[in-house]
Amino acid sequence: MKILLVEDEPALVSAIRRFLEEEHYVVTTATTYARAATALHDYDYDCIVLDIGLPDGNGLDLIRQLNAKSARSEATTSGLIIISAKDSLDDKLLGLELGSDDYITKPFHLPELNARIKSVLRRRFFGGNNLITFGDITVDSLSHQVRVRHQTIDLTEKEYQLLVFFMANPNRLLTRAAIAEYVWGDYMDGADSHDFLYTHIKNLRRKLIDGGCPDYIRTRYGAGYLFSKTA
Amino acid sequence: MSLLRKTLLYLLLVMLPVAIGGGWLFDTLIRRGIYYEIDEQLSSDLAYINRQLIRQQVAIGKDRHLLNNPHIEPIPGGRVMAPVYSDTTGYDWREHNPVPVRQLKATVAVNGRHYLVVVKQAMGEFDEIARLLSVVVSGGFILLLGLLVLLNSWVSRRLWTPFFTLIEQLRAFRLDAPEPVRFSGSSVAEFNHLSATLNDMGHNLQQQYQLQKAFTEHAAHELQTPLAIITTDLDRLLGTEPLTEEQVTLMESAQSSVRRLVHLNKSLLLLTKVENQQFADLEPVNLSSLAEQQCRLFAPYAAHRGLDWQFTIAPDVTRSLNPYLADVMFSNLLKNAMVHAAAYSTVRITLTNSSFITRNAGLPLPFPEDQLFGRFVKNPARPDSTGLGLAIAGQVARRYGMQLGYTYQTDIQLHVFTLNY
Repeated sequence: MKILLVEDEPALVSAIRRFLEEEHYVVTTATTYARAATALHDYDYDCIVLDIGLPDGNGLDLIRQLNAKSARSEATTSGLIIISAKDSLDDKLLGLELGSDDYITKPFHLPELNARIKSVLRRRFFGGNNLITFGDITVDSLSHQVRVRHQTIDLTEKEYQLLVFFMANPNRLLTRAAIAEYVWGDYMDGADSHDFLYTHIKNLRRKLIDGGCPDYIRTRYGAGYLFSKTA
Repeated sequence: MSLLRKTLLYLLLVMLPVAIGGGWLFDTLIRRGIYYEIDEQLSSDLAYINRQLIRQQVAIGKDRHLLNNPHIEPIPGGRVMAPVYSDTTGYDWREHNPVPVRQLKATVAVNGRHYLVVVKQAMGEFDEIARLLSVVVSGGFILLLGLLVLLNSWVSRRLWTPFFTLIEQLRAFRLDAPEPVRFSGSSVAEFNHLSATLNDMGHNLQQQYQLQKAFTEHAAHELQTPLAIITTDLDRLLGTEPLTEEQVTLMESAQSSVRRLVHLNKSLLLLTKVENQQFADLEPVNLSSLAEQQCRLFAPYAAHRGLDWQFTIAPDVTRSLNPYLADVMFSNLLKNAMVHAAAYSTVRITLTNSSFITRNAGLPLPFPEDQLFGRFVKNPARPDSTGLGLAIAGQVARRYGMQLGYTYQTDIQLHVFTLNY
């Protein structure tokens, strides 16, 4: 899977790039509007991660260019995730209106970006196949149905989100802060949310084990979780 | 009392004694003048009689005039007395009543014979003239002064108009107005000066305020990039091996702090934006469904805290608001009720046609009540709260002219927040 990362902050570019490469993506980066426009013109990408606040141009114009390109060719359209420093509703709406698949506000956790990219790619390229599988667990991302060896597990919405987040980041150390941010966003803050998260993870774990699933959720180093088949 | 009225009042207060005293003074002066003239007249009458007595043209002892005037009577011996002016009354037989009279009594020696001569002058008419004059002059004075007062009030009103205009403009002056206020000039130099000074001051204040605002906004924006870098770097660091538990705990703690900082930053940015009126677009927001949705969203967390989370929501209450701000305001109020409710207590949320009320049990506020909606005011027991939630809710409510009030029912230890819309 080829990803174009458009972001003007070098430190962010290198961190995101390394992270995505670990996830076995082929990553091209562009730090300016001009380079991004050229890259978009010359190559096709499966997913574009675009910071719309570029110093030399408006990222939204890049989306327009992308739309014009996909209108001309028969090639599959790229997935698009907007990164914005502005938590502004207008930007979000305009971006989604212009055909962006998702929107993420700075600062974000890399596992969250990873989960979002996976979700976008799934929607774009595996049409019809909405199933995510990890070990004995199969999740239908359309109906939000969770099965363990063909047995349906009944999860709450938050537990479902937790599970999807874990499945998008297997074998990766996830901290409570990153998980809480993904599951609750702005709604929950402070120390309570960690305690709350703990309860949710405990419930999810119990439901999975009760459903006959091996225990994939492991606590690591006291402050993090690892979703893994191996102990 | 207005300056104008006060001026007029003082003028009137001064005018009355001046009119009364002035009238009295004038009357006295006129009387003195009249007496002086009359006495002169009487002495010349006496001189005339003296001459007539010398020429023997006077019938002595025979009154030829009213009031027995002049009265000449021979007196024996050489008794001479100094002329004496006095006020007396004489009987006016035509008017049948005593009238005030000025008389000059003197002895005159003519050809060795002595006469007592009394010449008189009726004073009634002069008194009347004096009185009339005094009254007319005092009246004239009062009339003039009255006119002056009227004129003064009219002129003042005209003169002070620019001043009152300035006051009205000053009243309407808002630091956060999008357009700079122009105080109007005047043809009066002093007011023109005042208006120019106000213009300068207003301009400076607004400029300072804009700078301050821009600073907050820029600072918040500029903070986002380093925060994003810290976040991703920590994520990268967590992906390295080998890690010790201590390292992970430290990174997790750092992540939590960054998350707090991010929330703080977002809240500050939001506050600035609300103040900057950057959420101009209004649309009908169904408060009922908004409140219901959020109550359900918070319900699991409330359950986690062991709260009895009850909500009663009237259907289809709609108000024109910015949807995003409405969302923020409601969620902040709900979050406040939920987070600060005593564990295992009941939280009641009510939405009616006119108000939204949250009731949660808890200990009294650890700070003065009037600071509740202030920024960075927080319960010392909850140091990781941003202390901005209620400030934002309050600011949004104010923005839409809604009243967000707070009461504490001491007897049952209940915090009640009421939003009237």
